[in-house]
Amino acid sequence: MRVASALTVAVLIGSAVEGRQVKLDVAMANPYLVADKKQVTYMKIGLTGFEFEDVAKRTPVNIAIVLDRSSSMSGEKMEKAKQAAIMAVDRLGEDDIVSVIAYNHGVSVLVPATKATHRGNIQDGIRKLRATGTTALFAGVSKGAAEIRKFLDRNRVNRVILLSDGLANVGPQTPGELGELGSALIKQGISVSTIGLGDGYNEDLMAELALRSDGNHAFAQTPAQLAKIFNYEFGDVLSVVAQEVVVTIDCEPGIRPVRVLGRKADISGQRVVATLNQLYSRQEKFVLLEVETPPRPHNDVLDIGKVEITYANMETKTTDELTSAVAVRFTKSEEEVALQVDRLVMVSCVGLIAADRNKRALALRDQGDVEAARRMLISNGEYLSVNASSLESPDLDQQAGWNNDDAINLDAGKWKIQRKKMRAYQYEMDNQLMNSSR
Amino acid sequence: MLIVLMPIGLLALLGVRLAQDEQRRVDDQLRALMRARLHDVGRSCMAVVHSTELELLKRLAVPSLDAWDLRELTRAQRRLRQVFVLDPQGLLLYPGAVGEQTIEERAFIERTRSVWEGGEAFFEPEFEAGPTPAPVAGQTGSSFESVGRVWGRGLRRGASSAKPLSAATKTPHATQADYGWHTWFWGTGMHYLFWSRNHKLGRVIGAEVDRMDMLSEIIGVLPASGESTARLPTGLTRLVNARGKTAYQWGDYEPPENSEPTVRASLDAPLEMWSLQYFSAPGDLAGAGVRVRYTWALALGAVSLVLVLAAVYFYRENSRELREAGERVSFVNRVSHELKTPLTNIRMYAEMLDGNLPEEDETSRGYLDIVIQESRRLSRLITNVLAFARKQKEEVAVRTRSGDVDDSVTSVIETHRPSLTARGIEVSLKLRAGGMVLVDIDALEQILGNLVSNVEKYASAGGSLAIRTGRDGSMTWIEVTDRGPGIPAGRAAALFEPFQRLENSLTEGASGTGIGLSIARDLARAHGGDLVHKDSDGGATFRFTLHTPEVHDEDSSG
Repeated sequence: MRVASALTVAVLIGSAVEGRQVKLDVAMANPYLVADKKQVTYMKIGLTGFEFEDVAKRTPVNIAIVLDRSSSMSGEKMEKAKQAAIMAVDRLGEDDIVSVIAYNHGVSVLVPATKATHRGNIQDGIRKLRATGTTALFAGVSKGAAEIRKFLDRNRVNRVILLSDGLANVGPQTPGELGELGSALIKQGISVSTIGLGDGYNEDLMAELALRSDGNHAFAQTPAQLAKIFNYEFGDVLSVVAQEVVVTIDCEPGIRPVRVLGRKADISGQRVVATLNQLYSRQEKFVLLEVETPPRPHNDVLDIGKVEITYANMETKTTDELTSAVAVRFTKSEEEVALQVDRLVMVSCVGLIAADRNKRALALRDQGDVEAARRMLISNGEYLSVNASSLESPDLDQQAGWNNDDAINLDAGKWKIQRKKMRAYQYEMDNQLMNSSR
Repeated sequence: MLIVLMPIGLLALLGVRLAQDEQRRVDDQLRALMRARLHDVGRSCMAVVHSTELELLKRLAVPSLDAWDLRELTRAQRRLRQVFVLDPQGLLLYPGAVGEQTIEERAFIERTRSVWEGGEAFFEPEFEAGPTPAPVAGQTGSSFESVGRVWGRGLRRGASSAKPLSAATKTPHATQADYGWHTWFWGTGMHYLFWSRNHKLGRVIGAEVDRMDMLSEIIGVLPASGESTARLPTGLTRLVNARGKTAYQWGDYEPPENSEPTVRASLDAPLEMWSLQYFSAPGDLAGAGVRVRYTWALALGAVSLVLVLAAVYFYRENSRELREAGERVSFVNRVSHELKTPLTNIRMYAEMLDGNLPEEDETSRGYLDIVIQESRRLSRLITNVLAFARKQKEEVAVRTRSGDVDDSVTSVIETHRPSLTARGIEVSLKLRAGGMVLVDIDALEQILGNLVSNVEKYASAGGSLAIRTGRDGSMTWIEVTDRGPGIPAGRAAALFEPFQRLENSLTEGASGTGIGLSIARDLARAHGGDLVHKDSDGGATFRFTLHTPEVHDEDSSG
């Protein structure tokens, strides 16, 4: 009995649409709402990337690998980073463009943006790296972006992959400033994926830069994990099927859009706009909108809103548009409401709500209130466990475990590492990156 | 030694001065060069700003003021962080009503509060004649005008209070600019507003510029560290922000902390608070200086070496001459001894012959006189040489006997008279030292003889020789004055050194051993007196004194 699907209509606009489309799935967490009562529910706009027909015809990429080579990277870190980058370059094809940048107090362009036809030369450039000096992270990313701009093309996946193990200490160095840079880069179609290595980097800065530019953020506790993370990242980058995804939700009069969970979105009046830079093949990304509904009588059907998405289809090289709408039905029966809950939407909601609480716990710990943070994390674990069993979700169960793990690692000695784990987890939840290395 | 060291010292001083000047000149040239290159770099930074301007002008030339279109502009367009719309008086129309702001718009208003409230007017409020201003069409249809006042409090300004625009602002119209920049400080740094006048809509449409994008793009056009930069030498170049913090740097050199840049250049508005700073590595700017210094040290060293070599050469030459002179003297000494015996015999027999010659044989007597005179002259020369030889062996001694000084003087003059007469020298005598005193007549005659023969040799052109004598207690003085060329000032001291002869055109050709005055003075000093040269008008005066105690009666009888 999936009423939601009956109420959801996805419409393809445009006659010239050929090839496959992104799958748009708009659903309410509660397709049935309690009658005669003002309440809050969630709308999920799910987007799933299609699969390329011919793997060889995947979207060409334009990648800048930006490596920290400050003195703190010396030794195993540098070696593993080089190995990971060399291995990643191996996965590139002849249509791809790659550049390699290394930074310490200054920035060196080891390999200027070039087609990945001579991978050996590129890898030789990486092998020459030696670690020394301080950390001009902003300049490193800027130079990486400059290399990408040389061949900037909306039909490529344009991405900076930043690896750092330290604090930026030359140039702009606050999370806010790097966030501004990320926001500016996404407007140019460039995302920055950030990989933090070890316990010395600024996870807020790295996460903010990735978040604002819609890249990925990952935490590598040991240099040995770098290969895996680079692999994930390249897997993502190489499987992009849609870019510049703009989700516009126009809520019907009387429906109040409250907030978008996790993601950054503009809410003004009845309109909500959220952007997702990239959709990966067979992966789902979603926007979760919290809405407040007015009280309605039994059996009333209420339109919640219309959804419109536009995106650049990387297979057809066209800008495609999809629309959909969603409605809810009111009932006096609370059993009916409970019965009709959309399990998948609820799992997403619970995950994001829990991630939000995890953020608050982190903030409490930052303020030095270890006990309050611990209590919040334990209750968050319980919240996830309860929902995991009622919604039969192993994912939520896993997240419950992470929160419990966080709760017991708040002491000074473990906090530095744990904070990075939490930040990476929150980032993955907000951006639906299920490649956690935890 | 001083003769060698002084020029070297002077040269060194001169060299250092010249090297410093050269260093300064090279430094100045390098600085000028680096400044020029920094300005080049500055221009490429400003090129980013200008392309930003152009792109913004294009983006902000919107056909209408629909709030969602403006939002879309903010969302999608690069370089724009937030679009805003002002009415001609500077009232903020968009972002507008509190309830309809997005989070980003609220943040923008928070950031720019000081601009709208306490800030200064940053554009000329007057519009040229144009259509009626269009209201910003909000999505809900409400005008932003009313709510704009909430944020626009205090924004209305008369034309008189508007300030002229900054230097960066281009002014296509003579009276008012159509676009420009405004900077303000918020949070941790400078923020930048760009505005342009939309005459069609009668509005000022502006945007907060994406400052990190601009910086990032500037960094993108600046050289990277590894690049071989023809733009600047091997030092470090820094882009320094309004707060004096390094935003970007390139070059392989790491200057010590807190070191001052070699040159710096400010950027233009709106980045006038930013600067480019160049720190020269020890290898480039200073390096040129080191090269300069090396060159100078090398030149100086060469000159010093030449001087030292010359000194060594002259010293060796001098000592060789001295040695040779010594050998000459020793040889002459030995020869003189050998000559003395036959000469004594010649003189003895010539004088004997003189006594025996008949009175009438005038011719023979004349010849004999010459033989006697010349042999006496030769005898005197030999005595001189022997005296010098004695002096070399520190054996100068006088043996006094009773005698009359004036008689001895007369005798010496008479002896010389033929040769003096032959040279046309008139002799005048004023002798007032008569009486018997204890004196070494031989020494007296040798001193005086030397002085007189000097007059013969060097001052014959003067045609005059005056000799005055006198007594002052137990001292007898004798002055010999000529009217010859005299002794050049500064050479008097050297006169009495052995082998010194005043080499000038007048004495050239004259012969002499160069030991006469030396011996004369030694003898005078041995005799308890001295020989000095006195300045006189047009000629030379030598005065010597001798210690001549008066002879007592018992001695005089003996």
